Formats: sequence, structure tokens, C-alpha cells
Amino acid sequence: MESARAPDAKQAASAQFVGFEIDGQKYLFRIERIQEIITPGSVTRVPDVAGYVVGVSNLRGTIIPIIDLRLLFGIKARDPNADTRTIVVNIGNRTMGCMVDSVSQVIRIPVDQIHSAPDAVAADGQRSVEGFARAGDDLFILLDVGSLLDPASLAIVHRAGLPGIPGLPSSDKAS
Amino acid sequence: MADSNQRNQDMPADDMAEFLSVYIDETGEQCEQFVSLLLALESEPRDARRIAEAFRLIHTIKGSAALIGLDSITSLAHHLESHFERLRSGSLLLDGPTIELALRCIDYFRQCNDRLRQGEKLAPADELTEAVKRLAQTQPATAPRPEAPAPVAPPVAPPATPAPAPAATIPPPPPAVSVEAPEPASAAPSPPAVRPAGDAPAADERLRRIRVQFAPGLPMIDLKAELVLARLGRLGKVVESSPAASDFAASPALRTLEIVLRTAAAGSAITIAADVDGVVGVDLDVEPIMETPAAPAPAEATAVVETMRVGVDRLDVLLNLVGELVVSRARFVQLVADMSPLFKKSAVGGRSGGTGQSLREAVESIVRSASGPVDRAAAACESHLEKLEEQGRMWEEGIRRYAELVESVDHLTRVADSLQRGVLSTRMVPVGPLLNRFKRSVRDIANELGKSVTLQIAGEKTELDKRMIDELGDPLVHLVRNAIDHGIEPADVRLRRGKPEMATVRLSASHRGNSVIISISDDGGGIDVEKIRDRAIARGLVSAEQAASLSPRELTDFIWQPGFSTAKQISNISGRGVGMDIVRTRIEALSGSIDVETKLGEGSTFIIRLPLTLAIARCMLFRMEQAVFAMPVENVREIVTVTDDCILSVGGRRVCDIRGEFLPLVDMDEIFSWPTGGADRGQRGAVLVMHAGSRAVAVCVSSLLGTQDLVVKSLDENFMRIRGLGGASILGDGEVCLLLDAAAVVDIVMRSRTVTEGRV
Repeated sequence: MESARAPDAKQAASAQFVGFEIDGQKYLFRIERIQEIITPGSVTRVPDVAGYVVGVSNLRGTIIPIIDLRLLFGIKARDPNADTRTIVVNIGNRTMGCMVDSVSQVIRIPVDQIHSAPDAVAADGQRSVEGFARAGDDLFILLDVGSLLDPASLAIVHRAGLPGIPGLPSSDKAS
Repeated sequence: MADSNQRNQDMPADDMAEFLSVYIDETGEQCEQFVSLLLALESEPRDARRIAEAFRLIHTIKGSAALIGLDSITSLAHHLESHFERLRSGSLLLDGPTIELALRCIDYFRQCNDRLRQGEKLAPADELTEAVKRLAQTQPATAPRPEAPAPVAPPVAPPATPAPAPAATIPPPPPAVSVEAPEPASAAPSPPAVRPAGDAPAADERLRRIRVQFAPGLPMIDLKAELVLARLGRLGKVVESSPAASDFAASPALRTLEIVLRTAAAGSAITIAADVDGVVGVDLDVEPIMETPAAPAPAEATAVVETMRVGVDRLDVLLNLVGELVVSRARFVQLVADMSPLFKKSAVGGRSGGTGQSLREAVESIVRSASGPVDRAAAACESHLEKLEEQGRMWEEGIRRYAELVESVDHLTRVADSLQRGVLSTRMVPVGPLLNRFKRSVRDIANELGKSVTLQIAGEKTELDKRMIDELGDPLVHLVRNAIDHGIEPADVRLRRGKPEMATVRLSASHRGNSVIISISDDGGGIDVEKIRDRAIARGLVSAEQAASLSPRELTDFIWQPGFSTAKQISNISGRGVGMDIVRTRIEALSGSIDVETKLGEGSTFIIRLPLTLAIARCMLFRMEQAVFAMPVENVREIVTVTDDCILSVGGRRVCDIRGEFLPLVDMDEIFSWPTGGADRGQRGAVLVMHAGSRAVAVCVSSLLGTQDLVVKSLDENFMRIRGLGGASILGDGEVCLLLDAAAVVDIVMRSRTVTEGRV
């Protein structure tokens, strides 16, 4: 989609991200936190878990939990379509999958284009928001995989709702 | 010692870690052996062979410790060794305090092993060393004798003690560790004691002693024994057999057959030849037998099988791969089964052939009867027909290939099954060391309580998954303590009851089908159900009326309640009522169950039932609306169809009547809460009665899918533990199924019922 745009920014001072979309808002994960991106396979429901845990899946012999980021962010569920993807991430020694509306290609963004999140955001309980970046016409919110999907803090993330940056235009306001 | 320290520093760190783990493993085994020797010596302090063996062990421990620079251990072992040297030479007699002190030294060595494993610093042993030195001062030390330590007697075959000894990798044996004259067997544990002259026989042929063990109660045992003899006879000449072949028919209870065979065949060939159906063990004496044995070989000298150490993590990797193989095998079997209707001869293939034939006839008749414009159409039909026939031939070829595929999948299944069994067997270790550890505890506990108790051990060769052996220690300690403290009466009571003063605690292990049974029994007073009744009423667990109607069995079940104890006095050892419930929890965590059989005045037996392995479980699969579930077959009591008139509703909770027994009847959504709801009440295919120990619950299931071997995977590894689920597994089609933990499910159901009854 959007690759390194300007060679005027030093190549060495840029980082790679995977961009994805949830309910029209674009987000980024740091590429080194991502194991792979798969099309969602069959998911087995599990009991006694929060609603945003869709269930567990078999990833080549490993059983991983699948979390629907729409539900985690408090947005209405949507039936998977051809664009739906599961991003498999590693958190500590755990492997987990998270379902997103769509995934774009790998994006390279110069480090100086990445702005850290205002303190107000962290105070808002959105510790998973690491910062934001502009690439072309798009505004991305950079999410920290570790604090977003750590099983211990999932409930907090869920309570905080859709991650966003106050004052920055977002394509959709979460309710 | 200074020297070995020096070398120690020069050694690369990872080499050091490797030596350390070898040291820990070997010393652990040597400590076990040393303790059992000491306990045997306690009753026979003059047993020279055992003293020599104990001396050799302590000497080996010292050597290994010195080699990796564990000074405190080396020094303590050195003094202990010196003392045993005097015992060995006969200048001192082994007495109680010495045994006590030696046991404390072993405790110290074990404690050191634990710390080494954790990477912690070792505790100083100064006090112990002083105590050992003082022991020596009771009598002036005699000069150490220069002869080699272990005399001709072969060692008590140390189980699975190979010698990848540090000494083998480091050229010079530790020079400064030895106070005696230099000797070859420094750090290498259990060197084969003496190689008799027969070591290098001129001919390839040599004498092998083969011990064949049969399963108990085998029918036609005499024929089996003859078969073994005949098969071995093909490999060489049977020199003798015990019992003799002519006596087979007269020994219906034959369990062990000993054969001396003169053969050039390899050990593995002999083992294969002797391993006929019904044989449970073939032991092979690697040591050549001397033509004229001076003394009969000691009974303990069993097989010395060549072994090597392999890290458990490597075995785990193998096991995981085998798990994958089992899953993909299941997938193949499924695919072949799905394809079989397509390729049945009578089905599509044959039919399409027939269709082609009749079509051809029809076309030919048209061509015959018509002329002119039909010709071109007929020709077109003809070419289509040829294509159809060609496809029919390909289909035939497909059928042949399919038959080959079926055969290959069958073969794959057999290989995968053998591989699975093989890999699983690498994780199986005998329970012997675990049970033998109790010789020491029983002695200590009995001494502490002033009771005299003997421990009988049976079935030491029974094998169990290593992880289970590791986890069984604590529950068994508790049960043994319990048996001695609560079970066994004081001596005067025993005499009054006409029992021998010396009480017996029996630990035994055995295989039963796909499970291993470990039982702990005592010949003590048994469990007094009346006391339990009183105690249950006193604790408010049941009302007096309810208690009166409870059966002895139901009353006995109260011992598993947390905090329940009928002991009048709280002793250091037991009686606090913590424990029995924990014992049960621990056993159930291993997918096992525990039950008790007791007879007042005659004793109690606790029976632990465990699956052979935790890695693969044979499960009953059933589909529910929410997911596919699996339940280990050990926990499935029965599957019944229940008619509506057998179902009663009590306060909104259903109970079903199964042949007069009333069991709670639940759906999946009564056991678990499902995030997106989804009750499938009403559609009830069958009722599955699951049980954990003596408690049972009936669960409604939509449809049963049969049984399958499942590789158990944990849910919490990547996510979290869910109460009631023992893990998950991957089915042949790649779908994940959820494994129910019967004990936890029964708990959830029982607890929810109790709460409801409380409210009503």
C-alpha cells in the first residue's frame, strides 16, 4: 500500500510496521512483534472467557487463543469477509492471534515521523497506544502489542475502548 | 582438591554445566542406593558385601564432587569414606549413630543437588563434617589399606547408571582426591567390578543367562515356556533351564524362566527371540558366565542394559512430533474413509463404465438405423464416447491406486502406533526408586512415633511416566505418614487385638489395562465410620438425620473434605486434616483418582489409579452445539439413553434416575458459561455418565463421535487455564477440541448444587 515514500529521510532511521484497519481507523504494529499473518481458520469456542475471546485455533499444532480486536475495542462484531485477517503475535513466550478487518502491506516509516502519545492518552487508560504516525494521507495509531494483548491486561484494554488520540481526527468515533 | 579447583576454572562454562547435570543425576542415584544399603545394614550390620558397596558409593560421590570442585561435599564425603573404610576393614562395627549420621550426610548431598539445580550456593557442611570426624575419634584410625575398594562381588546392578562420566572426558583422573593408593575406578560410577577371564573368549560363542518373565496368570504357560526355549534354541545351544523343560507342565504358576544359552547371537536378537506373546520382561546378563561358577550369582544381579542419558527436553520434542504424526495419521484415516464411497467398485467407477457401454450401444444402433445427416452427429457422439471410456479407464486406475493408498495408510497407522508406543516408553521409568525412598521415611516416622513398622514393596518394575513419578512423591509421603500415624495402632492395642506387634505397611504398584494402580495398605485399625459420622455432624456437614441414613461408603468419602480429621490428637505428622483433600487434588491433577477400602480393625488400603502417561489420552469424543469435547475414557462410566420420565427436576436442577441411582444431570451451559450464549437444552442425544473417583455426574451430549487417542495440549501455555478443562487437542481435520477435566467438572456441578440447596 504505502511504502517508504521519500528517500530524503535516512533509510537507517526508519522502522517497519504492519498496518491494519479496524472500523475504518488505521493502526500499526511493530513488525518485529508479529509472527505471521493468516486468513482466519476454524475457531473453537471456549467457555468462561470474556466475549472478545473468539476461541482457540490450531496453528500448525499449537493451540492459540484468538481475540477479536473489534470486540476488544468495544465495536460491534462483524462477520469475517475476504479481507479479514488474523495477526499472530508473540507476547513473552505466548503466541496469540488477533482478528482485524484488514491488513495492509508492510510500511516503512521514518522514526522522526513517529510521535509519542500525549500523556493524556496514557492517563485515559490507553496504555497500549504508543504513538501515532502520518504516512502519506493516512494517520496511523501505533499500538504496543505487548500491553494490548497481555492476558493480564486485556480487561483494562477492553474497558478503555477504541484506542485513539484525542484532538486528532479519527474516521469514526467509538461510542 | 586444590588441583581440581584449578582445573575447574580452566573449564569452559558450558562444559561445567554439562558435568554438573551429570553429577546431579548420578549422585542422586548413588544417594538412593546408599540409603537402601544403610537401611539393609541396619538389620545386618556385619554384611561385608554391603559395607564394601556403601564404601564404593561414597568414594564415587567424593570423586565426582572433587572433579567439579564441590569442596564441602568432597570434604564431607572424604571423612565419611574414611569412616567406612574402617568399617570395611572390620576395625569398627557399624552402629546406630553412625547410620543416623550417614543418613544425615546423604540428606546434605541431596540438599546440595537441589541447590545446584537451582543455581544456588551450597550450604556449609562444617558441622556435619565435624560430627563425622568425631565419630572417627572414638577409635584410632587404622592405616588405609591399599587394595582396590570393591571386591570381587559384582555391584548391586545400579539401575540405568551409565558411565558417560566426567572422567571419560577429562583425561587425568583427579589426583588429589584420593587418600588411598591410586586406583583406576575414581570418578566413574559403577565400573563393572571384575571382568572374568571369559571376557575375551577365543570363539565368538559365549554363555548368556536369560531371564524371561511371564505375565501372571497366563494360560498354557508351559507351552509358552517351551516356545521361548525353542526360539532360543535356534540361536544356539540351551545349556540349562530353570525350571527344566520337563517340569514346565508341573509349574502352572510359572512366572520366571531362567535359561543359560551358548550362543554367538547379539543381545538384541536374544531379546527378540525370547519376547513371545505373554512375556513381560526379558533380562539378559551381559556379564559372561564363568564355566564353573565359584558361587551362584547374587539374586540382585539382573540385566545390565546399555543406556545413555538423554535430556527430557529432547524427548519432549520427539513426543510433540509424534503427537503431530498421530494427528496427521488420523487425518489420513479420515480421508481414506471419506473417499471409500467414491471408489467402491460398485459405485461410480463401475457405473460410469456401464453407462458408457449402454451409450455406445445406443449410438451404434442410431448409426445403423439412420443414414445421411445423422452421420456427423454420430461421429461426434463417437468421439465423446471414446473420451468417456478413456475416463472410465482412468477411474479404474484410480480405484487400483486407492486400494494401494488404503494399504499405505494402514501401514502408516501401524508404524505411527509403534512409534508412539516407542517414544512414550522412553519417558517411562520404573516406580522402584520412588517406592524405595519410603524405606527411609517409614523408618523415620515409625521411630518418631515409637511404633515398629515394616515396609513391604511390590511391583517396583512397574513403569510410569517420569513426570508422574516426580509429582507422586508428596501425595505418597502423606498417605504413608497417615497410615503409620492414624492407621497403625499402638503396640499394646495391636497385641490386645491379636495382631503381631510389628505392623506392616505395603506399597505396591501394578498395571491394570491402560492404568497403573499404586496402593498403600496398612494392617492397622481401619477407618472408623462411626467416628466420621460424629465428626461430620459436629462440623455441621450433615444433620444428624441425614448422617444416620448415610452408607459406610458415603461416610468414608468425608475424609476427602478439606479440614476433616478424626484424629483426636494433632501430632507433628498428621491429624491437622490438611492433606487428604490436597492428596486427592494432586492425584486428580495427574488425571488420576484415589479411593479407599477399609475394614474396621483390619486396616485400610488407599488405591491410586493413574493413566500410563499424561501426554496422550484415549478419549471419548462428543459434539455439542458449542464445540467438540473429549473426555478421557477412564472417566467415562457409561453412556445411557434416558427417557423423560427418568428425569426429575428439583428446584430447577435436574436429576436423573439411572437404575435407581440419582445423579445430577447437566448441560454444557450449566457447567460453563459461554460468552455468546447458546443453550441446546432439549436436543439430547445421549447421557454420558462421567466419574472421578467415587463421584459421578450425568452430562447431556448431542452426538457421540467415538473414541480416539488425543495428544493433550495445554490451554494455559498460550492463554489461560479454564476451570473444568484439562487442555485441548487437535482432531484429524485440524479442528481444536476441548478436553474435559472430569474431577473439576464434577466439582463444579456438586458445588453449584450445594449452593442451590443451601438457598432453598
